[in-house]
Amino acid sequence: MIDRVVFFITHSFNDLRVNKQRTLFALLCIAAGVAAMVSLQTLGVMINDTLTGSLQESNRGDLRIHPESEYAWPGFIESDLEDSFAESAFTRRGVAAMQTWFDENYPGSVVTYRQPLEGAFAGWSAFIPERGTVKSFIWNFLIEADTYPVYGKVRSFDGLTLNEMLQAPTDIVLGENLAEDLEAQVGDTLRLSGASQDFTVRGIVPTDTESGFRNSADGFLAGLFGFYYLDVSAVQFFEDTTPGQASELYVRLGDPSKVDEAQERVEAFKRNAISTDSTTDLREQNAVISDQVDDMVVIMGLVSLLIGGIGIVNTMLVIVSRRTTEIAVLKTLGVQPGEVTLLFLVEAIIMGILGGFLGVLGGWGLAYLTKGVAENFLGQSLVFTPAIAPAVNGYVVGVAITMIFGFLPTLAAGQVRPALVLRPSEAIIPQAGRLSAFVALVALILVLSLVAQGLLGDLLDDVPYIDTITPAIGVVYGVLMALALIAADIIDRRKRRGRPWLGHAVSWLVTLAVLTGGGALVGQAIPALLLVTIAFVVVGYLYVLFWLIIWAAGGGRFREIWPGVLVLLLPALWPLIPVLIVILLPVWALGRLIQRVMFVDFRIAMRGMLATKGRGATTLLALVIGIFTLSVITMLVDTITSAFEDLLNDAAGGDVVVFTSMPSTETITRLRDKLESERDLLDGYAVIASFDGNLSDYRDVSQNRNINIRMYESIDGRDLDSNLPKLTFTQGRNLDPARDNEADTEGYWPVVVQTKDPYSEESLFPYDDVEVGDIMTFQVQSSDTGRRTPVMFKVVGVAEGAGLWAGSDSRLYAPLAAFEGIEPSNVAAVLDVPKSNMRELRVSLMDVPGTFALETRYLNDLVNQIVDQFTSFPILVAALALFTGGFVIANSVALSTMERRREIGVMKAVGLQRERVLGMLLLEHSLTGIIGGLIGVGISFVILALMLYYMFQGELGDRLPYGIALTLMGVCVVISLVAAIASVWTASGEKPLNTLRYE
Amino acid sequence: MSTNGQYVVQTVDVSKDLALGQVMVHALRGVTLNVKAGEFLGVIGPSGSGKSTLLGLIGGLDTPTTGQVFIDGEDITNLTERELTRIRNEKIGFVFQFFNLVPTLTALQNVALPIRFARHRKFDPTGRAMELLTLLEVDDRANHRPNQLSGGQQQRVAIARALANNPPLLMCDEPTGNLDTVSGALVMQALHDVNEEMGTTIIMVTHDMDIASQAHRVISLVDGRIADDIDPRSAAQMTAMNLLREERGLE
Repeated sequence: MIDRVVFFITHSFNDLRVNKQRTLFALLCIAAGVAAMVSLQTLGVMINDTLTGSLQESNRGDLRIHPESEYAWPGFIESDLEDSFAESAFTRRGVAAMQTWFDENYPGSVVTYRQPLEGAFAGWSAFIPERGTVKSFIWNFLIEADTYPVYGKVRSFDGLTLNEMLQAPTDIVLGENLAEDLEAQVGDTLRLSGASQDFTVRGIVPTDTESGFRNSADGFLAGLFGFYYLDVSAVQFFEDTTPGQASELYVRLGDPSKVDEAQERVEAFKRNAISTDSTTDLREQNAVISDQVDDMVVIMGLVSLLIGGIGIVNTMLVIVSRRTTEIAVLKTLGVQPGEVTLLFLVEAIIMGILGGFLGVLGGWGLAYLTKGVAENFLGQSLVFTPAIAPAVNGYVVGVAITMIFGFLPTLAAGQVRPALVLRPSEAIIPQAGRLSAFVALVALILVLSLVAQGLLGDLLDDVPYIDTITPAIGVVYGVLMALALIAADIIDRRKRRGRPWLGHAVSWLVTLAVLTGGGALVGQAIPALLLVTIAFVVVGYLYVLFWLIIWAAGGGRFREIWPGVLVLLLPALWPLIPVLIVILLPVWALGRLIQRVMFVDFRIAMRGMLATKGRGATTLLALVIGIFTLSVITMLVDTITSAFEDLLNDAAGGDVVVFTSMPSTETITRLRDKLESERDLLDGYAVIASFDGNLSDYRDVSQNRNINIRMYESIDGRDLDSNLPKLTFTQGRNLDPARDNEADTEGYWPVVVQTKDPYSEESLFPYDDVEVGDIMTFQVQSSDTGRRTPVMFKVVGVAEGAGLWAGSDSRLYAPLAAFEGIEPSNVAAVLDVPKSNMRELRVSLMDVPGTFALETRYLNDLVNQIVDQFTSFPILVAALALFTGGFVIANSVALSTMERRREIGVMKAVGLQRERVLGMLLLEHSLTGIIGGLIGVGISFVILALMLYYMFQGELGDRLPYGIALTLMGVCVVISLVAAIASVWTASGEKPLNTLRYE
Repeated sequence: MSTNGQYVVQTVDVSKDLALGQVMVHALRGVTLNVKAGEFLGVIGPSGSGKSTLLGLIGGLDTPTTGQVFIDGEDITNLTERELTRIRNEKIGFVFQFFNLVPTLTALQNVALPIRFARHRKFDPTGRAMELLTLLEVDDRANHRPNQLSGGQQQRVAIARALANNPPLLMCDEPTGNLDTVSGALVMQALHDVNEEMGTTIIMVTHDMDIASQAHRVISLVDGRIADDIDPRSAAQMTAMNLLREERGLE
């Protein structure tokens, strides 16, 4: 036996060595799949290591104390925590009281805090005048520099601590991500939105000082947008921020082992107002995140490996088909069918072992190269480690998948009839006996489920009715296997005349019972059976679909597919029939037309494609999975961001918003004067002031009733000459500068109402029923004296949507002239500014104190960044799937070229130049690429169009990303061509005599 | 049906129908043939006469549509694929026109192959292989792969491989058909040596009457039936055969 195994191994190695090119492509297929899986799992391990690193530093203390919910945010907590805490925990006095309490109960403890800037856009944007750089939506951390953080030290790149850098209230320390965007250097002067003083940059600290999952959402956003530190003494330069109003407290305990007890006691103070996070909580949370990351990478890695598996099936099929004569000879010499199967299986296993090894190395390499993407996703730096567990995992699974996928073709090898050796001209690809192939296929599903189960663990346990579904599937498989085996036995008995039947009938019943029961038990034990079954069904459907599409695109004849059409008798396939007809008929008609009218090379290329429909279908499968995922993500991202940009500009009425930190009528005047003086730099502008007040009376004209109401509301007054919001009106009209700059004869000012609340997106009373002509009376409050002035408005327009825009949260706007003599609560301006004039305008606006210009494209950048962050990892995974698919395609092309060496030889023998043969082969493969692109990109395009239709009610034209769709199609063609060129180039250069003599 | 122990091969009213596309071809029609132990039988006939089909049936590569085939007294007609494989390994050696050596194995490994897969191993694979290669005078090429050997050398290696398990029957399908005259003569000499020295029964299918005439007995197949059964050493029978050859357009 050992002698035979040694022979199998030697023979397999010989075969792999002799057929170098074929071996190389097959190994790359396996390696790509394993590499995708190993790289994703290695990234997962890196993420886990980071999450479970220093918990005290990640938590910023043994205990982190913060308000319970958004309603208990700083400023809302006014009651005491306990008698000993005279004030709220989140005020300066509260912090001091907390320190006292901890000193008494846990001696040696340190309490510090962090506070946010408050008020509209305070500290949200930074501008360095001397460099003209600006960054918006940045994150601020106001800290007590001598105590923050309580664990570890924050150090700048120059080695200075926060305490050393933040000496004066105007000192600022930047995160590296913000410093890079601002091109900031230590010593630069920096202006923050809403601040009455400029700051000096004293140091730059690494981004991961605050970014990442540590510090909860703050850290995440800090990593995303950039952040800076100020000492809490800087609060004096910001109007709306109360000194010492903390958002979070951090406690270092004298004895960290008492963290759970301390947490319990602190939480007991005020159950509904505060919540705490201890290092214990963080450990548990991180364990959950780790598990989720693990699950995600396992599933995605498995997909890549399955794509690689397609390559294995192709390779083994070709290996077997090209060696039918050799197999027949072996069988003639007395090698049993099972031994032939084993021989080829050993070869597949060797390929799995070698390919898996390459894949592990490649996976580590990929993990190292794609570390940045995972860092972007997490907002946290990761340390690369060539982790062993993912490598072993990927390796074992890779070899297993290779074995499993290689098994069916090798089973076919065992079925080759030895008589073939006498008639080699009749050599055809051996078909495994249909019944035994079916049994083997079911067995494959079971084995694959076992592998998948090992990877997925308890991931599927939460699927409803899983305990019933998978045993039922197992029973179905068991029955099918038993019936196939019984049928095979009956056929065999009939062939071999005169054998007894009775004993066999008993064995059939036993087989049926055992396999049915066994199937139920397997289903019970392996929930992954559900996933693998679904995957097989989906892949099976896709295979049939792609096969038919290739047939249709090549303008194939009906007789080539009629056995396949019988499959459509299965009721499960009936829903597909209309889809097939809609897709296939036009494609087929086009294919037939092309066959008639196109030049001969094109027709030969199409016939080449038609001749290898099976392999073409698997190639498409590999290509489409990758390109579909990639295109869905990229096109969706592009559409969302461009739609958001449009909406933002329309709602704001301009592409730049100027904020001011000192709202007053004087600011309105100064701002308007300044903008007027810089008219040359602007395409248009409008000053907008927000006024607070109460809606006191509402007259519903259509119902002819008065409603007494007392509702807090804010209303915008704006210049009408330009930059009005571009809204969709359901009734009435927008404001008109020609007639709306004064009250009408009855003393009513015109007002436009947007019906939905900007936060809840709901239309609440009285806006749920607002109509043109309705009359509103506002008691508008002057922000300096608090005096209320009644102003009456008549609704002239009702628009869709919510009124939230960059400067205000009001849903009403009226002419600014209506508010004469009333001090506003907020002053801003919207402008249209050519990009080239922005820098000059910023410098000019510095003359108006407290102003800050924000381009709406920065808001868009914000959305882009968030979208990028959340899509970076899926894009990476899709790209890895495509990467694997690329190798599968290369393998397919190499195999089909190898099979067609004789055909190529004949073409050259009848006088075709090498270039022409090369052109035809490349044309054939680019056709495959085009079809793959059309399917993959096309499906995502349709999905996107449907989504947009429901989101934007038909305004699709300018939102569909045609450019990206075309680019992705191009990517498909390029991948196909690149994958093809190596093998096609060599094959087309072969001397015809060689191929004709030896093939 | 009883068998006679002196026959290594017996076919009884054997027929074989083959499906070629939509058409059913009667490749053999009721062939009854007895081959004695130690006999050297030549089978001739034009293309499509059923030579290879007969070879396949006797060699256990295929099963007859009707009739029975006995090898060494054992009815192989209804044997399973597994049992047939064992028969081929132990009782039959094959030599093909295109040599059909396994291209990735050396001459020595090729010859040792049937011994390695024998259910009851009678020989040491390497020792026996070397012994046979020496017998066939290709031992100096033992560690070369098929593509490094001449046609004649390849065929002698193939004969050595066929003899590996010392089978009582050697089936040769056009053994000189792909060789030049000198190599062909060497191969025929080797077959004669094997037949005489080892007592191996040989059935050789060929187109070449000169090659066939070196056998002890020649049968000619026409349209799936045995048309003639002669002793080539008889001058009268050979003259009659040559006349028939010309008439039927044989080489």
